Amino acid sequence: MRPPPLLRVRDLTMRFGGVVALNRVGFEVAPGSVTALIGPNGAGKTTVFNCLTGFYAPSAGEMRFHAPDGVEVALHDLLGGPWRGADFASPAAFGWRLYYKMFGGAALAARAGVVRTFQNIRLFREMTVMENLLVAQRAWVNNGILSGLLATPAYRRAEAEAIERAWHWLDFFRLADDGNRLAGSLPYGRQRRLEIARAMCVEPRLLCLDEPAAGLNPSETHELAEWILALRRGHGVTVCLIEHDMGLVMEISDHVVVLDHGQVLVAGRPEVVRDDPAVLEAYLGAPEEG
Amino acid sequence: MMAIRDGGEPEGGGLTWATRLRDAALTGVIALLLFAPLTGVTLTGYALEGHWQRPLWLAAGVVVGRLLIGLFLEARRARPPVESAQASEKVGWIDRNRPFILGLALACALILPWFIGKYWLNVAILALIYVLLALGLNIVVGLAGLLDLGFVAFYAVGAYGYALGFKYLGLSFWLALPSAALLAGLCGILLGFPVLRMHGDYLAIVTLGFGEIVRLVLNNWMELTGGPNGVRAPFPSLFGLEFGRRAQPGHTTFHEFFQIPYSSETRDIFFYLLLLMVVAGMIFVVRRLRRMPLGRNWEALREDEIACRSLGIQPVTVKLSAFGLGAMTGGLGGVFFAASQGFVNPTSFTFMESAHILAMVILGGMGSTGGVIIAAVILTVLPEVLRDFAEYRGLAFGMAMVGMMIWRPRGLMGIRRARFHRSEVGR
Ligand SMILES: Nc1ncnc2c1ncn2[C@@H]1O[C@H](COP(=O)(O)OP(=O)(O)OP(=O)(O)O)[C@@H](O)[C@H]1O
Ligand SMILES: [Mg+2]
Repeated sequence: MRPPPLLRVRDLTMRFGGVVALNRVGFEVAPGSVTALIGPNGAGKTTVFNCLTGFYAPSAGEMRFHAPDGVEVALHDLLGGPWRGADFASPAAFGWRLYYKMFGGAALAARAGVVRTFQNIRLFREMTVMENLLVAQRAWVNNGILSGLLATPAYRRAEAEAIERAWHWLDFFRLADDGNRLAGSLPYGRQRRLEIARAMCVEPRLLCLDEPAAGLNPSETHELAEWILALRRGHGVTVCLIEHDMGLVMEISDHVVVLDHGQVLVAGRPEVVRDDPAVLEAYLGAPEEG
Repeated sequence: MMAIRDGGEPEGGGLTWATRLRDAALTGVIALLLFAPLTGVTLTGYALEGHWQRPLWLAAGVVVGRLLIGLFLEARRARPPVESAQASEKVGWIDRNRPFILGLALACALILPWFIGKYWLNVAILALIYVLLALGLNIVVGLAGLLDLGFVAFYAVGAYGYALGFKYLGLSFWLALPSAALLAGLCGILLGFPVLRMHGDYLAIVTLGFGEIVRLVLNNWMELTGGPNGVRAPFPSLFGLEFGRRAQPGHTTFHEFFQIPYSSETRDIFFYLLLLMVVAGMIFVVRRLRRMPLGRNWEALREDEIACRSLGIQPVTVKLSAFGLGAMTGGLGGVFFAASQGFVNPTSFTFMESAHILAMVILGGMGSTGGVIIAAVILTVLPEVLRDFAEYRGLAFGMAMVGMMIWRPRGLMGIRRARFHRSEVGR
């Protein structure tokens, strides 16, 4: 029997004024899989990620995240929706609305285990590589101020663990030599790797990578493929991937969803999608390597 | 590291003589246009007098200066900025001897008051108060990257918190210290709420307005604050021992208790040492915070708020904590200021004061604790040294700023980042 999906997206619609960026998008992500989201430029791929990770409140539709350990999160509710007249009548509704406005959104998604990287790399450039990884570790962040100022044994232990974990991920992505460099001074390829390493420090269940191979050379891309597969195998991470490099998509993904003009064109196994005439047509204007 | 910029052509000699001369000529013309009406004409009685040689001389000076700048400074500046990459690699002499230097500085600061006399002691006290303020603003602006132009408001809350607390509630200095600081911190958080979604310029304007509102309220709420007449703020006592010449009824004075001759300097030395302790404590707290999750979150927020959110960090709490802690430090400074002056009134809390503190943070290098402390001391002590040239203070100040931007755009000290070494324990 197939396990229930980790993520189920249904009828996801996103409108920006008159622009319909997503129109009733639906797909599923199986636990432990690599699911690729492909499509021509402007198809709405990044918008899907923005909705998934709580940066945009979708206009309609639902996104349900079922973690294997029973945690269930309605990702479409993370931003709490717009203010309504009724909120001002009931204090409870008002309170919740306010809570979501202040504390809702992306941070909640990350805490639920949906963590992303960005198409245009977003590192803390004036901080060192190690610091970038330490910021991401919330288990340590949650320590109180006082215990930190007094450097209590519990605090020191948490700090040592966080540093240890950061070194682990630096080793994993072969960045250990750069640990004390400023993140902004790294070469481009390493910045991409660092962003993924930083996301891994959040301990994601679903890792959403937005064009991780953009700007990488073929050997770096190959390395990246191995790393993604290793993450899935060794760390129980499910990966959702936006990518234009068809070689990479075909190599590592189990399931491919093709978006075009904000709609799902085809979804299925990579070899099926590759030979689908509708997909070829969508890409005809801008033929890709695939 | 050299590989980063090896595409560039050999610069340095890149500026040709022709461009230099053209630049200089252009600057000269602009200078002439500016100086001619300013210095070329004087009004004597009702008659205009022309002094055409004056603007010409000034413009000639500007042309020569521009040429010199072109020759020396710009050639140097044209070199590739590898500084940022190197900043984290370099372990300088200062870094290696840091504990020693810190200890020496503290020892010097401790014995200082016995050597400098009453006048300079008061300058030193003022300098320490500014160090406190600059450390507080550094949290908000330097670390969290929230441009706050109304920081003086929290300074005022601290100062008036003590003065009014004493007037209406009989609050002693020692009680006022924590409570006025907490009050200021609370004000910081309250200000933080409405500006949570603002960045950069918008935030700057709102905080500027907030600073002015606080000052205007203090100035105009005559019944509560006494308006421009100000409020009295008494000097602290030490375990009930007073520092005046004669004790209030039922109290003892310090010099009587220890049976030493009365000197007004005793009280200033006491105040200085007390303030020094608070400043040292604050330096410790800030230095620790920078290596703690909270301090790192502040910096991460300054670097990229969206990335912070994607990692599960709530910008709201991070921002409010920066505002709150910064304001609290400002409030502490305010209490000390009120006690040292014996009196507060709204003229001490103008926008110029905010700008002054901000200049310390910028000169010191945003986020660098050591740099900010040095800048605060320099900017307080230097005007006193140059008292005879008081008219040129603004000029010197401006030139220092411009010089900084040319030679040390990252501040006096540059920022030292924590370094991590692999522990052997791991494996
Ligand atoms: N914040 C926004 N406001 C208005 N329109 C937006 C916004 N975000 C995305 N869009 C629009 O939605 C559409 C889809 O954009 P999206 O960034 O999701 O494309 P994409 O598939 O990621 O493309 P690419 O491959 O170039 O990254 C575009 O037409 C874009 O203009
Ligand atoms: Mg995109």
